[in-house]
This record gives sequence, C-alpha cells and structure tokens, in this order.
Amino acid sequence: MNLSGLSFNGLPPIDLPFRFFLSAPIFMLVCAGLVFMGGESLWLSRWHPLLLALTHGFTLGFLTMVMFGALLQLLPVIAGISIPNPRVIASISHASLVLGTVNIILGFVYGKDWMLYSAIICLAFSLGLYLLALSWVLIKRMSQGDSIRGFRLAISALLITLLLGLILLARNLGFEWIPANKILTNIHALWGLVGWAGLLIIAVSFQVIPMFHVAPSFPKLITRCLALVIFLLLFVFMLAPAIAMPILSLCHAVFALVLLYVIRQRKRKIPDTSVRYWQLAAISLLLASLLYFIPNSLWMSYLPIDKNLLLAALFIYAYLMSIIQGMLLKILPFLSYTHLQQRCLVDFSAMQFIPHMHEFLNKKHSQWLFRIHLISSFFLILVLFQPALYWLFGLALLLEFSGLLIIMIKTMSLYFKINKKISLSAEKT
Amino acid sequence: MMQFTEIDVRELAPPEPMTVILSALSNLPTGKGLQVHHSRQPFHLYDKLIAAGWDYQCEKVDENYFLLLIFRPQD
Repeated sequence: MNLSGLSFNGLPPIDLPFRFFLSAPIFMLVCAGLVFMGGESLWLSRWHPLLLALTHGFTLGFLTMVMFGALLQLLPVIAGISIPNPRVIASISHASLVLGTVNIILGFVYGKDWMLYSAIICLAFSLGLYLLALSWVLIKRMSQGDSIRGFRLAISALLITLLLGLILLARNLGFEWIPANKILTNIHALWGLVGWAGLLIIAVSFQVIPMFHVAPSFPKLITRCLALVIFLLLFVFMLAPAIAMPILSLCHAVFALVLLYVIRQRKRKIPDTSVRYWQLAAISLLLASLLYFIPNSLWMSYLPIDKNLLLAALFIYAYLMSIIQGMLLKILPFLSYTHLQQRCLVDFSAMQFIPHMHEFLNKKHSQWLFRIHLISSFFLILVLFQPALYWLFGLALLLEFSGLLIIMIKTMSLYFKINKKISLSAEKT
Repeated sequence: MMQFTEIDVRELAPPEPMTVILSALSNLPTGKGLQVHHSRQPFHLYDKLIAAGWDYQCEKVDENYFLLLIFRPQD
C-alpha cells in the first residue's frame, strides 16, 4: 500500500471534542442528584422511573457523549478519516444530544409528555445527524481494517438502539405500534450496551492498547471475528434470548481474558493509571460474564438482589465507564499535546512553549480519580444489596465527577494558554 | 540520489513518535530527507506536512510496520 500524496483529513479543531468531554461529567453530577432524589426506593426495581432516568444519564449523558467526542479525534488518528464539516455537525449534534438527554431524564422523572416529545425530536436529530456523518466516512474509507469494521458494526447498533428507543418513548406517549412488553426494553438495552458501547470499545481497544501502551496486537481471530459474532448474536437475541445470552457472555469473558493478557504483554511497563482502568474494566467484565452462568434458582436462594440489575451495574459502571474514564485521562493530555505539537511543523521554535505532556494532567490527580472510581464502583454494588446506603454512592459520584470536571478544566485551560502563547510568538516573528 | 536520515519510532508511545519526527525534521540538513520506521500510519501528520511544504510517501512493509519517507518536493 503506497499512500504517496493522498490527501487525509487532519484533526478537527480541539474545542469540538472538548465540549463533548466537558458535558459528560456534568451529566454525572446530575446523576448524583438523581441518586439523592430517588433515595432507597430507586434501587428496588429496574423499572423505577428514576432508575431509567439514571441509566440514560449514564449511557447518553456520559458514555455516548464522550464516545461522540472521542470519535471525532480518534478517526483521523487511527484511520485517517474525519467527518465532513466537523464544526457544523459536531456543534449541532452536541447541542441536541445535551437537550435530548436533559429532556429524557426530566421526562422520566416528571412524566410530562412534552418532555418526552422533545427528547424524541432532539435525540433522533442528534444521533441521526452524527450517524449520517460517520456512515458517510466509514462507507467511503478505503481500508477494511478490523477497527473500521468494528466501528461500522457499533454505528449500526446505535441506529438500531435509537430506533427501538424511539418506539419505546412513543409507546410511553400512547402510540402502541408494537404490543407492549418488557422484551422490547431488554432488546433496546442490549443493543445499546453490548452493541453500540460494547462493540465500539472492543474496536477501539484493538487500536488503542497496542498504540498507547506499546503492547502486542490482539490475536487475529479475535480482531477479525469477535465484533461480528457479537453483532450477529444480538439479532439471535431478538428471537431466542436463551440461546444468545450464554454465548454473548462467553464471548465477553474471552475478550476480557485476552484484554488482560495483551495488557500484561505490553512493553511499556511504566505505572499508568489508564492501564489500571483497563484492568479494572476487564476484571469486572469477566466477573459479570461468569455471574451470568449462576443458575437463577441458586441465585434467588443465596443472593437477595435482582440478577439483571447487578449484571447491568457491573457492565455499565465497572466495565464501560471505567474504560471511558481511563481513555479520557489518556486522550485529554495526548490531544492537547498533539494539537500544539502540530503547530511546530511550521515553526519548530514553538516547541519551547509546549510543556511536558504530564503537565497537562498531573499523574497524582489521575491516580486519585482511579481510587475514587474504585470506591464508587464498590458503593454501587453495595447499594444493590443495601439500598439504604444510597447516599454513599451519591457522595462518591459527586466527588469523582467533580474531580474529573476540575481535571478537564485545568487541562483545557493549559492548552488554550499555550496555544495563545504560540500565536503571539508567531505574530512577533 | 537523495540521502535520507533514518529514525525508528516503532517502540515509542504517542506522542513521542511525533516529537522525534519533528525534532529530526528541524535538524535535517538541506537536500536530505527523513526515513521513518513506524508501527502505524501517522495519518494526522500528513496534511500538516503538506501545509509545512513537505511531501511524503508511506509504504506498508508488514503488519504494524510502515516505512515513511518525508522530503522537500523540489529536492
């Protein structure tokens, strides 16, 4: 493959991913508010409106928000592609995702029809626009790399999740297009969590782990087949959940083990908090996959909690959120540094203004954030056993995501300060 | 025939490869090009190279091994 002279899209302006990243911890602070508002009763049933609001705060407000921002920058770095008109598309889809998420949370909390109507319109518009822009570049992309294939599957899963979600919301408003049953909600949740978020993380890990941690590539069998098998199993789940679920759990257990193995084989063995996040995520995923195989009869005799709720907590918070937060701590300083560094191609003397990458994110701060994340993960599981301790989880959420927000603001401020310094220096010369 | 200074950034984690490449380019004598052994394609570097007046060629040698040549178009 010779790529002489081909034109590639560079990195989109850094303020675009920054606005997605900044919104994410703010939604988590809203989620902490929901935990205090819901109190003990929030944890008694997965159908509690406040728990539905909380789940959508986690998945749309944090996970999707960060993944949308990260994809804007990751695609140019790992695949040489970028969405067209990034400023217009990212600005509109960000604003409507924020509005849609606020409305869906409020809609579940207060049960007002207009909020749910507004959520339908904003989320359909935001996700639809972003999906369209991403599909455009992912279809055009010449490479058929394993990660690109994984991205395509994740994007397709998001489209299916969105359509199912819109049908579910419409049903809440009285439009019964499909007979009401809870199976549709399970299908929606699985496509969103395992399809959209899970497949995207799997595809990203194939690139990010070897690249950032100088680790060996994942085994070919895993990179070629895993995402596709999971995607097909999600269709099987719609017709025969009892057949699909055990195989899905097994696939995830295998991924978790391979992930732990690849991380262990990395050449850069320097202490790195983001590695700890990946390890925590892999262990949590392994645990969730194994817990699934405990028979329901045994479960009900020995564990006095809803099995699905525990598995969802482990999957969403201890697996997905851990990886997303770990990646944020990795890519925030990396992006800031890379954007500034690119300015030095024209004028190398500007390098003198760029501080060491660790100055963009203090190592000690990220270590503390990881410790708080461990504690909040533990408290979440604890709350499922002892709902009266909800305030512990609420406090941990407040602490963790205030910390993340402060860290982000510090990194971004430093970026803009240095960027200004380079511009001023260029004007003088 | 153009001479190339050679650097190997395959065992470096981002953003170190970029730092090494930038530093090598800034110290490159006139008329010389840069040959980079890389573990992946530095896609985000390409349009900036062109903007800074450089040209490049990238060839995939093996899985996770790319050979990147950076040079001035007039050379």
